[in-house]
Amino acid sequence: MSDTQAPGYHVPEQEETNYLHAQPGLMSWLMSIDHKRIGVMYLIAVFLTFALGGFLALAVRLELIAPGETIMTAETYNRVFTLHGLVMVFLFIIPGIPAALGNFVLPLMLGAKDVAFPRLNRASFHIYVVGTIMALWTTLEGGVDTGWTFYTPYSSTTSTPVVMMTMSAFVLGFSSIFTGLNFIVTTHKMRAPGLTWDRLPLFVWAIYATSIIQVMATPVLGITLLLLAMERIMGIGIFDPALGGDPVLFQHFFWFYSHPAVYIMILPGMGVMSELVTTFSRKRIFGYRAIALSSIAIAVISFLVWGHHMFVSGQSAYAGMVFSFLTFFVAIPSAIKIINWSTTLYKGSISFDAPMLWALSFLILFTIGGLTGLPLGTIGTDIHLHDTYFVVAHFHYVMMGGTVMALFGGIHYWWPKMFGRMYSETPARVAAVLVFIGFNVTFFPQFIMGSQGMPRRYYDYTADSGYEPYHVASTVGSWILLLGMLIMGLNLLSSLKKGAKASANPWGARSLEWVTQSPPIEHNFHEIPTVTQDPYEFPLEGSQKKASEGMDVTA
Amino acid sequence: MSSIIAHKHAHFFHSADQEASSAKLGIWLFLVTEVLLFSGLFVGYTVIKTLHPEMWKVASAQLDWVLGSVNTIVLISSSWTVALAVRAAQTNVKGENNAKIGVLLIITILCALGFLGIKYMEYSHKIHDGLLWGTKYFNHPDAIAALKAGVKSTFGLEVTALSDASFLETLKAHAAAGTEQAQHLIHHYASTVTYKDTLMTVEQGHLFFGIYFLLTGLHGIHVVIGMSLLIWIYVGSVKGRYYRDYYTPVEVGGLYWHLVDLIWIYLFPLLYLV
Ligand SMILES: [Cu+2]
Repeated sequence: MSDTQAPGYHVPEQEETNYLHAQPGLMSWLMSIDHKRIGVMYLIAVFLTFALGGFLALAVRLELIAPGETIMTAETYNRVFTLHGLVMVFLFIIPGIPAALGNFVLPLMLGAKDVAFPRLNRASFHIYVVGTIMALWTTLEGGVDTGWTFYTPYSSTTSTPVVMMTMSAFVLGFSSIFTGLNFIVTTHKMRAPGLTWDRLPLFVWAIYATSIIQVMATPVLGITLLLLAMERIMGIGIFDPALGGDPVLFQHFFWFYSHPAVYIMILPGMGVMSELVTTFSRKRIFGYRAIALSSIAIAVISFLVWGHHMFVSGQSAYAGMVFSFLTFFVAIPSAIKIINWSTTLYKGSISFDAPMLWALSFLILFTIGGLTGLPLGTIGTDIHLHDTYFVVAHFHYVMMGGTVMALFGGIHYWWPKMFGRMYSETPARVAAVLVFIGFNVTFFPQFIMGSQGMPRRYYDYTADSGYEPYHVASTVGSWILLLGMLIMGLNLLSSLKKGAKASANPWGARSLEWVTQSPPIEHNFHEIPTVTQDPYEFPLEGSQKKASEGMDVTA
Repeated sequence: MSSIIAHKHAHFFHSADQEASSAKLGIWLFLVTEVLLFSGLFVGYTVIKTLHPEMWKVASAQLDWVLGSVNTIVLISSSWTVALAVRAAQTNVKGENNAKIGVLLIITILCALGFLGIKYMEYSHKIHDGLLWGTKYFNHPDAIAALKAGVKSTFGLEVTALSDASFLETLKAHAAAGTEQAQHLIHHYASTVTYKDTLMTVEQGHLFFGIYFLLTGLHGIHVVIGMSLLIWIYVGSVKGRYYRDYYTPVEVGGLYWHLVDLIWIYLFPLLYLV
């Protein structure tokens, strides 16, 4: 008992009605203001959009397996890869960790009964659903063919339904702003007694930094998309050189949001990493403060580097140099995190449970993704690599190799808390390994063909270009990925019925979400716990139980 | 009615203080997002002004700075009355200030309506003169071609020299029939005469008016939202919901209204005076 995170707090012997069964019926879910239910609904939404985006990616890969037309026309291909990008970015990865896992876990970690504005939280989910319907509606109208970046002047002239799609992203932006705003206020105002800033779990720090970016950057995307819509509806001319406007201005606007947005996508993943790495190596996190503050540093610096997407756009060479320098600078906080996680693992008693396998995948893949970002941030090499598959590979190593691995790791980690059931370990590990292999087979060849000049977004390549073997490998890899994902999904789903009952704290972790029962009661805690220790106070010598043995520190 | 309805804080907060300070931080963050939303348009403003400084000078001179000034005064006054309303709510103990809060909010709402009325006058004048965005602009080649074609088919006349004042007289003489189409063409031609020495001498004046309508239009939408918020708060104040220990909605609505005011205080000099 002496090392209990929250002295005096007991999980009652008799299991009580949990949030899943607190109220019956579909409407009680859709209209719920319980952060846990909203988190679960986001999780379902995110699974569905990931399946849709993944299906589109498989179609793109299949088309590229051989030169010439394979399964679709060039026009269809443009629409498919555009929709893949839009779905994955705006519907899946941005809400992915913050809105699904964050909603569920953040108030629990803070020892709060809910977020600060539960009704705003519900509104955020409803707005997300509306935005998603709008995005899918454009697909019924034939889809957009601009790429997810909507560059002018093409986007202001193409005959595809750009206005509807931009308005969809505009609406989704509100959802993202409301979630971020809610989390910032919740973190400031709803912390349990004794939970000082330097005792916050690093996941909270990461979500907090993410929320700052969401609140600061998303309005600029909003106005950019509004201007693009006005350009099409009214013919304002602000991006149209024929009317005296400047098309490159759109790129500045777009990347002013979208570079920080890649940190909206990766920072929450880094937060999950910090939790997984410590829990499954049973060691205190190394460099707590450095990890926490590097999240904030990323949030700030990420606003100053957008020009690295525009080295070939005709911006001034001087601006290019400054942006290149600042880009190297923003790499430092990410590197600090990688080094701290690695140091945490060093001499830890590591257990290779499924969440940890996903975390190790992250560590390897994100490191590759991060390092391959450097030649893209260097002007001289970027001119060669710009708009090639090297960029595609880099982006996927960071976003899929980083964020998606962390998301899946986080889902496995918090799954017992969310649903009160354990998934079976062996298929979970097999899935993690298959995805790791499939991912590398898919994306590593893209580095090679990119550096040899294969342009991104192209529908075709010639038979004598030498790219074919790489494309074949990449497509085969996408099938391995699919297999891994299917095993993971089925394993998780079947655990809902057949899984063993989970204890309150199956991993022996130390943050507050583990002191309440699994799944939690509707209002999280009967009495608000008082915090007396930091969240990574692991018992070291003597009690190095394996996490998978389900050690329960509160019992 | 001078009584109050006691407020009970939501169950997930442990005190009314925690609830109030959360709401305050929330609204401040929201105001930041609003400022950032407008900042994008201000960047557009700066870029277009820098690309076409001559055009900007001529086109912005077409705005009516007197109406703009009146509107500025109207909005500043409304910010003052809403601040007084917040003060009255903060010092409301037993409902003795309910009526005062209501009256101050009503004055604020009337100011908002006045602002929109004046804006409507300005807009209709600009629409009348064809001082609009993109291809709708009176001097845009598409609009001129439409004017020439229209004059030819309606009056059977050939427009030879644009903005020739005597030709306008000829048109007016022909317009006895007075169809709407004819009136519209005459107005359109009249603006080419009116702006012969100013807007006709610079290119791309439509960009200024595009930015003008975007900025003031987006601001106008915010005025409408703020006004609706104030009406909702007014209803609550009549019921006696706001008093010393609970005045969060009045404060939040007031802060939002100050922001609407503040944005106009930037818009007015940037569009009308610079
Ligand atoms: Cu970037």
